[in-house]
Formats: sequence, structure tokens, C-alpha cells
Amino acid sequence: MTKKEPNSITFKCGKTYLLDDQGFLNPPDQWDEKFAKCMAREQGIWEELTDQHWQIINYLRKKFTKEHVVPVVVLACADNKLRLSDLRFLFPTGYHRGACRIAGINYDFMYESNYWLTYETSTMPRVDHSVTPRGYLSDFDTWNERFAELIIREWKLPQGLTDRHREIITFMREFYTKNKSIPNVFEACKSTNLDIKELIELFPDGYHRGVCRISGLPFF
Amino acid sequence: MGNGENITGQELHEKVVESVTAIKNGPKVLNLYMDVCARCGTCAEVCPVYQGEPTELRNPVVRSDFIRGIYKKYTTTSGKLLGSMVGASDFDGDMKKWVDSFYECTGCRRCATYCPFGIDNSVITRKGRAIADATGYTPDTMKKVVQTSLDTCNTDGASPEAFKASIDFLEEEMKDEHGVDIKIPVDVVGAEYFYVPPSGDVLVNPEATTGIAKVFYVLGMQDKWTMSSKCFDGANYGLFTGNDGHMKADNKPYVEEAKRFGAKYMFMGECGHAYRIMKMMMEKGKWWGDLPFKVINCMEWTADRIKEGKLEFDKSKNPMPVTYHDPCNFGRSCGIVEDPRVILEAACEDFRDMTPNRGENWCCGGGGGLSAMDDIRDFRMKVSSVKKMEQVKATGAKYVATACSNCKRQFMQLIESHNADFAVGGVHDMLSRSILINGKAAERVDWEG
Repeated sequence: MTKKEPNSITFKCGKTYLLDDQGFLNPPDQWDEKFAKCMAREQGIWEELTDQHWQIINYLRKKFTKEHVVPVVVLACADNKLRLSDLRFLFPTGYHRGACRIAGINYDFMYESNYWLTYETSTMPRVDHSVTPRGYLSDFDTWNERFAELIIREWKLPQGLTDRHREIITFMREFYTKNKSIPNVFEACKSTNLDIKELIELFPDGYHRGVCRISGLPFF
Repeated sequence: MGNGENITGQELHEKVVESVTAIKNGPKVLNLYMDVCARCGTCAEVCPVYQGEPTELRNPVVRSDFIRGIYKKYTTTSGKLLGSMVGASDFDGDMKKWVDSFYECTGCRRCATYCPFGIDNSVITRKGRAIADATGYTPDTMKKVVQTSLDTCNTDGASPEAFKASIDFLEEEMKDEHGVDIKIPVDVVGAEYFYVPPSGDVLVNPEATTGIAKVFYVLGMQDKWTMSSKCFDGANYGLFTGNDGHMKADNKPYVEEAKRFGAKYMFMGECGHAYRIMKMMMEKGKWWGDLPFKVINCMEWTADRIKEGKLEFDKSKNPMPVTYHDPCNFGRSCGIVEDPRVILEAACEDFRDMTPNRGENWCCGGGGGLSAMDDIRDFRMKVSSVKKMEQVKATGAKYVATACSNCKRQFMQLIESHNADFAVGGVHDMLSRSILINGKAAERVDWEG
């Protein structure tokens, strides 16, 4: 989805940022809201950043740029009236690796101001999709864009999840919601104006294992 | 890295020779280590660093010979007469080589366990680091941590107000989990137990501390323990830089605080070297004379309560396979090996032992303070930890419990750089998640494992 080079990152939106060797933004004055939005996706936040996310990010930005400190995780939670589990829910890769990274605080600054900051123990990536042994989503309603992204990663498509994918997935999901049945390949192609060549390009696993699976439709 | 810029080559040479010859009149054991090494190579066979990537300077014998050679040249007759034929050598003026090498030893003391003569290379390493410290060559990170700790009594540099704010936060957190008021008493004079954790267990990964608070609550001993808003970090980096003066200066406020509280027990948290310094050095060596209190460890205490049947658990809260990594300072140096296992077996569904374990465990690769040094991160990730990662993977565990902040930091970075799929945390963390209070385990949103 994004092209990674040793010390820089180019997001899908086309903007490139320089990073330090630990993958944190450096120099820090490159930070802008776009960076936060794009980096959030890299840190397992697949939906849009919510107000709660922004509250933490703005809080960290203020501490970092105005007061030149990074609070330890417990104090950051206390200041923002959050439980530790709330923070983990908001930032699945953790406080320092997730929240601080999105807020554009560089690793060396954190390490030099207090090396314990970088000591936070790990959180495992949360599993929020239950899938069948064949790899189909168990529950149609739990589909979200992250699930689609995971499958795209599995296919190793260089351009990632494109708008064309989204268009086709939306059609499939709307069709299933309305008719409670799965459209056959001709119906799907005709309605979305898809020819067979494009289908194979966009969904290398074919119609059932590709299009249907990525749309979260059940296996039949 | 400190560069000892205030010292000339001549002075450096004199200082090194003087420090090394002083060994002759120092502790008997260090003299013995200087005299008896047979260069059999057993230590290299069992050394996590040498086994990670064998190079000459990583061989414990070669490293110790920096000091041993000078010792032989200046204090033994054979060394004076026969020189290099008996292994004597002079200081070559390259202090940087010394520092690089001595800060590649994790001080895990595995060599001492296997050496036929019982030579403990970590003691020689510490001597080497002490000489580096005296000449101003201690790496900057270490200098800074020691200084912060001497200034503020904790390695975080956190103020008493910040500490109190975090304690309030943890109390609220526990209230949310259990619906009852579980207290963490602060600065209570007259408390029996004075709890001294590493500061990370309060400020960064606080579940270990909430675990302890819950145990006291269940036993109805809420008013019998306390923490100190000044002395809440047992970590003592004087041990790692080899500076005895710093080590004792860092230690003293804790003993005074315990006396001020009139505590019967100094209740050490999950920090290997803090416990080792208190129990094996301060208490046994009578640094501050006879003490009115005993030094105990939270894990042995909790394990005893579990054996007495006073604590109950809902194991299903911890369903994943869990293994225990013995921190060297607990396992090898203090013999705390069964207690953490008692706790984990009680609190988790699937506890698996790592092989080898207990006193024979392999170091995580971040011991001896190395874990705090990010300038040698590559070394820690690719050399000193190679064996440990193999062993953890062989258990299939999804959670590595360990009772040491340095081990946790090292594991955390290992997980990140090797893309490994397990989590790391403390022993009381597991207890905190599954202990029953009024018949109910903590209600927590589980985003892990």
C-alpha cells in the first residue's frame, strides 16, 4: 500500500515524510494533520481519527512543542481522563509506538528526555474479525475497511485498496443486504461495468474467493 | 559515550594500573579470579553474548584478560619477569576498547555457574566499568540515568506530585475494574510493609503495582502497607556503572525512608537488581549497620499467600500460553525461582516452562544495564539475544512474563525488531487480571492476546 524506504515514508496521498531509524517522524517540524491521518492507518487505526484521538494527539503536540516534554503514559491518561484500556483501544500499537508516533514526537527526543518512556510493554494487535477456516468473514456485519485492507495485503497488490475496489465491494454488500443472496459473476460484472481482465487484476483470487470474500459475504 | 576528555594518556595509564594493582589488597575473591583462570573456555560455551556471535573480544576470558594481564604484570613475580609468556600485558591506552567490551557483557553470571573454578566474570566486568567510570569513560546514557537517580531518587526524574497523580489514577483504574475502593497508601508512617517497585511499574506498565494492591486488599491488609512519594524506584544504576559510591548514595534514602515509616519489611517489587542490591549486598554486607526491618520480595510473599490458599483466581482470564523468563538477578543471583511459577500457575490456564530455566536460564541480552542503552541496540537485537529468542519461540508462548523492567524493555524491542507474535509483561500483571475480589475478576477490555 505504501512504499517504505529506509528513512522516509510515502503515503498513499503522495506526500513523503522523513523518518528516523525507528520509524518516528524526524525532523519534527514536518508534522501536519495529514501526517497524523496517514500514520494512523499504519498504526492499526483503520477508520477515521475520532475526536478522542485528536484530543490525545493535540495534548501530546502541546506538551511536545510548547513545554518540550513527553508525559509518561499514566499521566497522559490521567490528564485526559482516560482508562489505560481506552488508550489501547484508541491506539492499538500503544502509547509511545502509536500515539506519540502519530503526534510526530521523534524517538531520540523521547529516549533522551526519559528512556523509560520507550519501555512500555507490548500490546498485541487486536483481533476484531472472526473468520472461518476458509478465510471468509464469519459475520457479515463485522466487515470494515480494515478487513479489506488485510486481504489486499494478503494478495500483495502494489496499489493497495483502490476506489475501484471500494466501488465493487459496495455493490456486493448492498446487493447482499437487499436480496440476502449472492449475485452471480455475470450480474456483478454487468452492474459494475467490470470486464474479466480487470477482475483478475483487481481480485487475483477470482470471483468467489476474491470479490465475495473481500466484501465479507459468507461462503456458500 | 563519555570520552574522558579531561585526562591525558599518561594519567589514564597511571590510574588504570593503580586501580588494577589495588585489587591485590581488595576482596579475596577478586584476587582469586585474577589468579586461577585456566583458560579452558567453558565460559565462552555458555555465554549468551559469545554464543550470539563469536568474536574474539566477546569471549569472557579475553575480556577479563584486559584486567588480568595488567594485574599479572604489576603484582606477580612471574609476570614481572616472564611477561607475556605468563599472560601478563600492559595497558595499551585504548580505553574505548575497554568500554565497548565491558559494555558488551550483560553481567548475567551464567559463566560463574559453569566455570570449574567458579570465576564470576561479571565481577571483573564491574571492575572494568568502575575503572572506566573513574576515568570519565562511562557511556552518557548511564551517566545520565545515575545522575537523575541521585538527584530525584528515581530514574524517571518524576516529582512526588507526578507520582501521587499516577497513584490516584491507578486507584480509579482499579475502581473501574472491580467496583470497590482499592487503596494504594502513600507515605503512611507506621505501615508494616514498605513497597519499593521499579518506577516503570508505577508510571509506564502499572499493572504489577495494581496486582500488589489487590493482593493486600483481598487479605484485608490495606492499612498495613505503604509506598513512598519520594522513594518509589528501586532501580540502582550504580551497580551497572561499577561506582560503589553512587550505588550506596542511591540506596541510602530507601533505608532511611523505611526507618522513618517504622516498617517491618522492605517489600521489594519486580526488579531483579534492586532486590539483589537490597538483599544480597546492603542487608548481608551491613552497609548501614543492623536494620530494624527485613528485606523480602513481593513474589515470594504472594506465592506463600497462594500456597496458604488465601487467594482465588479465575484462570480463564488468562487463556493464552504463558512462559516465564527468569531474570538473571532473581534466578541466578537471589534464588527466587519457584515463587513466580507458583503465581503464574495459579493465575494462568496454560503455563509452560522455558528450557533451560531457573538458575541455568539464558540472559535476555539486556542485562547489566545494557537494556537502557539504545546506541548498542543492534548488538542487543542481533547478538546478545539470539539464543533467548529461539527459546521463547520453542515454547510457543504468547505472553512472556518476567519480573524485571530491563528484561521487559529488551523483550519489547525484540518483539518489534523481530516482528514476533508474543507479548511481554510482569508476573503480578497476570495476577492482577485474574484475581477474584468478592468473587469477581477484573472487568477489563482485553485488547491483547
